[in-house]
Amino acid sequence: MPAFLTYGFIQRAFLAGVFIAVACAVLGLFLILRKDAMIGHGLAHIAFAGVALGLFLNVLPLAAALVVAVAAAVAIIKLKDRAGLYGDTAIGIFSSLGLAVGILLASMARGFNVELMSYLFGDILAIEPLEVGLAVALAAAVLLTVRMNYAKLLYMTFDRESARAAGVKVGRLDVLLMVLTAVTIVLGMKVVGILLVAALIVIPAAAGLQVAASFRMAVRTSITVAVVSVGAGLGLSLALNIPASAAIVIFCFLAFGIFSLLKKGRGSADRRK
Amino acid sequence: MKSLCRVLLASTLALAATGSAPLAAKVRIMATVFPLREFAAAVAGDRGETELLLPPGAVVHTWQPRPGDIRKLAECHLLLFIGANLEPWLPGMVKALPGGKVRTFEATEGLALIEGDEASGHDHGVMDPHVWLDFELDARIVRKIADELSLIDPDGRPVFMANAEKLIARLRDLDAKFRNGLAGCRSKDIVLAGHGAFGYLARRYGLVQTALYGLSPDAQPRPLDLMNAVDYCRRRGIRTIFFENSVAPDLSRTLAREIGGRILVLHAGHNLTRDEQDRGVGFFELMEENLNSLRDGLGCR
Repeated sequence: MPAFLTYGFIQRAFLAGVFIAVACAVLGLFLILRKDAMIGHGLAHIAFAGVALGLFLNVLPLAAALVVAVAAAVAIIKLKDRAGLYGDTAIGIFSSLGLAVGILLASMARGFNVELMSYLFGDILAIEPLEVGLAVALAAAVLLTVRMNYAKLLYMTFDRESARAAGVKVGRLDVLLMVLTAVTIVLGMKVVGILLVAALIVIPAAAGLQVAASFRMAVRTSITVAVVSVGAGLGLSLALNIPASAAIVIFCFLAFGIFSLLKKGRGSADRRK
Repeated sequence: MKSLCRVLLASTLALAATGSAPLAAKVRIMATVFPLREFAAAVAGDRGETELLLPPGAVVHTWQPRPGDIRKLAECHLLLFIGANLEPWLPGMVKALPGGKVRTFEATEGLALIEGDEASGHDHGVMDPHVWLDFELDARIVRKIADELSLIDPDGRPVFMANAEKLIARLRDLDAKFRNGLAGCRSKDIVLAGHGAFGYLARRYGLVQTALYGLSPDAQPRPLDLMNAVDYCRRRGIRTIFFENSVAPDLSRTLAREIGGRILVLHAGHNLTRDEQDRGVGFFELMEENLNSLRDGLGCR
């Protein structure tokens, strides 16, 4: 075993990082195809309001963040549905509102900077053993839920109206997906930090969609991209002594870049035929 | 407290209108960091009103003034600040003051500062601003504050000087307590899972500060720094990681878990948390708590 792997914090970073990455990569695919890619950023802002509310009311801040994020996620899809808002308008509305409420609460309570930050932002190098368990449970829950509802989710994602007509309970599935997303974002923020969780939701899934011929393959590709990026990013951050989260995001982006070049190459080859 | 300066201004104006000298009212003093507020309050006594510019829990390096803060400051006579780039937002704020009627006092001016790299092995050429953790330097700052106050309120000079001497005596006591308390310790290593705020304290009492981040409190930790810190602690048999109460303790916990040790809190003291403010904690209490933590963590007799 290489010497650096004997450090507990690096083992935990690898483990928790990989499991969070899997959960994010799978969810990210559905979110991107629904044109909800920015929901990661949106819910992160909203979770800020949740933590502030928790601190303000003196209840468990992370629990408050979870409740608020789940409620907001559901509200976002309802608003999108009912008000007929285009694309990510609802996300824009709610994330701004979240930020505003968070700032207001923080300034009304005058002074809980440190707590606010520490509840919101984890660091992949400072993961507690309990948080590794949390990451594993999260990945398991996401994979299991997607597997159990795979056909329906797919149907709904690609053709919402037909799915509804065919008797798929679209509304209920929407809520399920949003609850999973909200939980993943809030826990992911706490465990690996906001930068990483927002990136892992979008980039690996986008990379997977560049090259995949089928949805199943896209799932596999994006999971692979996410996991390899976490591993390679941590490795690179060790080798060059650079911040780990940033290195992982850079690797995700490299994978995306390579895959989209591949696609372009393949596309022009196809055209030549 | 927030509107204190404004109320005082109104009363000053009222007094002025009735023909008394404006400084029949109290000297209004604003301080950027908690220790300066404490010193100014002790020196000014009944003849002054002091206020802390930053809200509780705010981090002085990264705080941003709001328009209300500038207004508050404009209504004061004297602004006490540390300098040495501790308050990077201050020059802009002072420039925004109307009229320039506020005197400013830079606590680090004329003091021999430690260079950042002496304190922590990083930040070459950057000066360490955390001077208030050296009680000798504090004594000099207190004397200068008394002079500043005397310029604004000449009648108060004897009071300010007497108060300053009392405060300096307390600082000397504190210094002696630290010197005695930290004389026979098993370890001399303050390992900080945060930024290196305790360089002056370490220098005065012959301790060695090892900080994870250097002088900037908002840096991202890097894996090799953490690994080196772990190795350093293991090599030297260090079982205590100190952390500052103004930063999240996550990293210190990680470090402590790695070496099978524990974490102890140290106060850099530039600001209070809201809890501490509600408890009415003073500078000397904070420093005594630091001494207890250090004696505990370093295994002192």
